[in-house]
Amino acid sequence: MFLARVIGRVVTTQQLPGMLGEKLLIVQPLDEQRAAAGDTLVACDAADSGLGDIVHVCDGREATLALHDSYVPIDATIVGHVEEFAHDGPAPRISAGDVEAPGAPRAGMPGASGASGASRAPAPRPPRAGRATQAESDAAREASRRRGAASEERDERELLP
Amino acid sequence: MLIGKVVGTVVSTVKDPKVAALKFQIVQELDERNRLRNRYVVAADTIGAGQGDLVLFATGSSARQTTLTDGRPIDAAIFAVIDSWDVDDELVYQKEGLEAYSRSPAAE
Amino acid sequence: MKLGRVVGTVVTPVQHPAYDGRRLLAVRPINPDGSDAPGERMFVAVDRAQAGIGDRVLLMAEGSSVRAIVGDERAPIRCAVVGVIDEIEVEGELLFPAGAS
Repeated sequence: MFLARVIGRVVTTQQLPGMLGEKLLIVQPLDEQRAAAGDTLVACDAADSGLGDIVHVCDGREATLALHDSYVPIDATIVGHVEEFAHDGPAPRISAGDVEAPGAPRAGMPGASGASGASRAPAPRPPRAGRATQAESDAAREASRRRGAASEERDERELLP
Repeated sequence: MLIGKVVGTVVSTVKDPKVAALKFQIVQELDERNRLRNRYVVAADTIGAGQGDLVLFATGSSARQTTLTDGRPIDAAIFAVIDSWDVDDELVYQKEGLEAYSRSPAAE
Repeated sequence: MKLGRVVGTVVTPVQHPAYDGRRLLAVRPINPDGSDAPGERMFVAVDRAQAGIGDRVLLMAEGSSVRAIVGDERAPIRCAVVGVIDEIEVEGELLFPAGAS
């Protein structure tokens, strides 16, 4: 897991069906000085992020667990927006007003700094066009979750020595 | 995930049966400004990408989260062809033949 | 697991629900002598050891183990600080805490 800044967005239409509706953002990993640290990469967005946001990214297999459909080949997902980063060195704190690129206000963005109580989950997404009923969506998601879990089980049984 | 360019294919006749019937592409990494990085992977192709296509690929155990790669010894998978991308609100790449991807302030 | 030094705390009020009630730390991997480990980036990790800024810690970065530690197999969490280090000794020499007898 690491900190990063959102610097761009990727648009794809020819893709695996499970990727439909997932937002793909280009992110620049950061160090504690808020300087670029490592190569840019593309991450799925599970936190309604925008250009310039400082975000918390989960990488690896666990990145799929933050998405609606976990049976997708995703190895990086944005799981939170960084409001405060208290540091032990000379770099100043990242505060809510420190986002460097201008962006339109979004629902769910943090208000007062220093909040450590109940988190606000990202705003629920509207149902995608083409979904017949909520029950069907839930069933499809559950089936996908089972596929993902079965896949992980297979990995552990067959691929590990 | 990373952005890459399909620069070639790999043909292998002697191989583990678990990777039979999979198409393997050689993908060279690209940075966010569409410059080639000096790093390559061999990735299983799950969506039929063509030579020269710019694609997204995932690495690690996540690459096995597709019906084509599930249960197989695969650690890199192409899962999307890129239409376009922008950095700092500036269009960096757009696939030939597509209409311009415009990003209006109201959209975000 | 890796040796690490806590370099910061991270607050993310807008976050995935699996992170509710969990404290996030920024950790930099270190060598046994306390210098920054080369070629390693700063990690964000869930705190399971009440560590503070400046502490030397054990950093676990293996996904399925961390999900077992946090008790949620479905959590998108793959890094955790699992212990605060009292002593590091290498080849008979006490490297940490420095200056102790």
